[in-house]
Amino acid sequence: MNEEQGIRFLITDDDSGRSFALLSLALVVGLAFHAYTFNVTKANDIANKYAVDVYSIDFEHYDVQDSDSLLIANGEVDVLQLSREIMGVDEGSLMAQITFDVSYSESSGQIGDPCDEVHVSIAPNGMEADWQNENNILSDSNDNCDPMTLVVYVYPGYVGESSEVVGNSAKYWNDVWTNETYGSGTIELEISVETNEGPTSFATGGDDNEEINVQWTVSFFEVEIKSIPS
Amino acid sequence: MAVDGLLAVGGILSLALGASGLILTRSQKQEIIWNKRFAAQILCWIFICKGIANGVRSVGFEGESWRFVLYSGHFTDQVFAGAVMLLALIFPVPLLRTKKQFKFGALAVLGYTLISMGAATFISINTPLAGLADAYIVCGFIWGTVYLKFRFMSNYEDHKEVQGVSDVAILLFIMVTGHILFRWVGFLTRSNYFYFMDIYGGNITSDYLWSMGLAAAVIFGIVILLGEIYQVAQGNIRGTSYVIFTYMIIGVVSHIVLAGTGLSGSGGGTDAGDGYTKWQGIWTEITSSVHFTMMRPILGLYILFHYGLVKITEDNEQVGKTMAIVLIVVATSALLEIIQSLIPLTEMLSAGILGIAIAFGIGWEERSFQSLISNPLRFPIRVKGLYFPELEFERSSYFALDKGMAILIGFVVFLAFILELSSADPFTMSNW
Repeated sequence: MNEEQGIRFLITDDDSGRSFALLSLALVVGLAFHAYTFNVTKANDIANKYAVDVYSIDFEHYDVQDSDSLLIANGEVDVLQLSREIMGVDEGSLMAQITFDVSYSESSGQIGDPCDEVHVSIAPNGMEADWQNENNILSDSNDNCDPMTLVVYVYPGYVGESSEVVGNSAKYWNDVWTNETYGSGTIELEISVETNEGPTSFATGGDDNEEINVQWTVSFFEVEIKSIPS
Repeated sequence: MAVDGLLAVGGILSLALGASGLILTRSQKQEIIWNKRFAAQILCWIFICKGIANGVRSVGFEGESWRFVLYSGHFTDQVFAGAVMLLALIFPVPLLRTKKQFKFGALAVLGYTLISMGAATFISINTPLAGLADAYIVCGFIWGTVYLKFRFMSNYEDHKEVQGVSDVAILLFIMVTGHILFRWVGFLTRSNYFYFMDIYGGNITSDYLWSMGLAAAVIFGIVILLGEIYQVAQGNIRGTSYVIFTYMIIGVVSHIVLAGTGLSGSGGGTDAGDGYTKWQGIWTEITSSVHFTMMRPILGLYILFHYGLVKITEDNEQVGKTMAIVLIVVATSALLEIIQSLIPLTEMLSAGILGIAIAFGIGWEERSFQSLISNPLRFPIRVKGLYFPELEFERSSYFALDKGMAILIGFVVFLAFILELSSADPFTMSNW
């Protein structure tokens, strides 16, 4: 075999083997970096890459309550607004649900005056909430002075019970349960009154308004996500 | 379009290119230097192997015949890897420089491929012996060296034929490893999305060897990138400079998109992992998957025609044109499907755009086909002839290569079928 048929000729011709040497050096250095990274730096991550992570999700909840009283004239509609700002809670608070307890009694003082007709409703907008939740109670009305309760579930999927989830990352689950968007905005409770006249109203001047008491309870929660060692 | 759909389209494209390319090489009348002639054939068989592998895998592993899908895909990939190594050994610069060396080299590659296949069959499909990543190291090193030698050859910086050799080395390298280059930043930043790539998982040595092969591809890519940056600084920019810059820039964007992700399925990062967001999945599809399935055949077509591996004359012009049209039209319509999955279009609008795209594709063919084939780049035999030894092969030698490859591919598909019928467990064969 003459010299030109050998591989040495290909390596050394023209550049005295510089190209070959340069690429060999790059390859050795690069693969050493790779070997160190693969076998040392990331060894644990790589060994556990198929391990399915299990996380516990624990909730701690607390309620914020307050009440308001509105005097609503016959045929009028009044609105009670509620937002994080109005409640005076932190913008980052995670809101689970809002409950309005509406109560009233016939306050005209007339003998035999029947209860007035009160209608309460929540418009499904204004606040970012789980409006599609089947358990929401967005409107009610009565004329027998029974209390009424309206409920809006704000954070989708929140039931308040601790759970264990499989897969994804802690960051993923943290993102799922710390979405501050839910509960942002203002929710509006509309209350309307239709008074019912009693038999003696002609003599005492009539029943032309009603005092409505609204107690609202807003449930907030805090979440803790922990990785459960396998 | 789901990745499975892309795999199917890629399979069709690769098979179309491989089969029509073989017809062209057999029917061409003009004499072509031996290494180009063999390279053309090997390139065609490479695409036939990939066409089968991608086509079979597009069916998915959920069906009853999952073993056949797994084994036939793996075996044809092993033939692919061996063929790529053989290609690198003779093209663009023949390292096998005599008939004896060529015969020995071809037999060594065949022996290596058969040993790998035997290991996959009798030990386990994920044993280190059955690995596939060696091809990236071998061919990357050879093409990388050829690139450096010819791109930086003193006094030949503007020599079209000399620089053409470095161009084809870059294009071949990108054709084989382009989808890995989209993750090059992850290699340096030690990101999970790079280091978690494996073939099947479950064997840390195999995982390491596979990852090492991908790392080698990235290292060669970085060397070529630095070389081209230097050449651009010297005012020597070439068409292939833009190609490598594009791939590496997409790699930087990919790092921004994929940072924080982990598992990305088996292979070289052409699949989206389970934890990927929709956007990360789309990005993987429009970069790595598109390269893996569509850019490879397109680059193969360009290399075949532009570098004179197949010479088009009046006799075979029609086959060549048909081949180009099929590739362009199928690739165009597949790309449109991908766009459609990103931007919801009505069927009417989609059909209209497809019509325009196909007309454009055929129009491109009319305008560019002649320029692509009429002036194939010659290699610098006159000025650097010692690199390109002239060997005389009988016509039967070329046919023997085709026969050998056809028999080998037929055999591996048959073997996969037998393993399917035998209900073999691909991961615990050594326990039988």
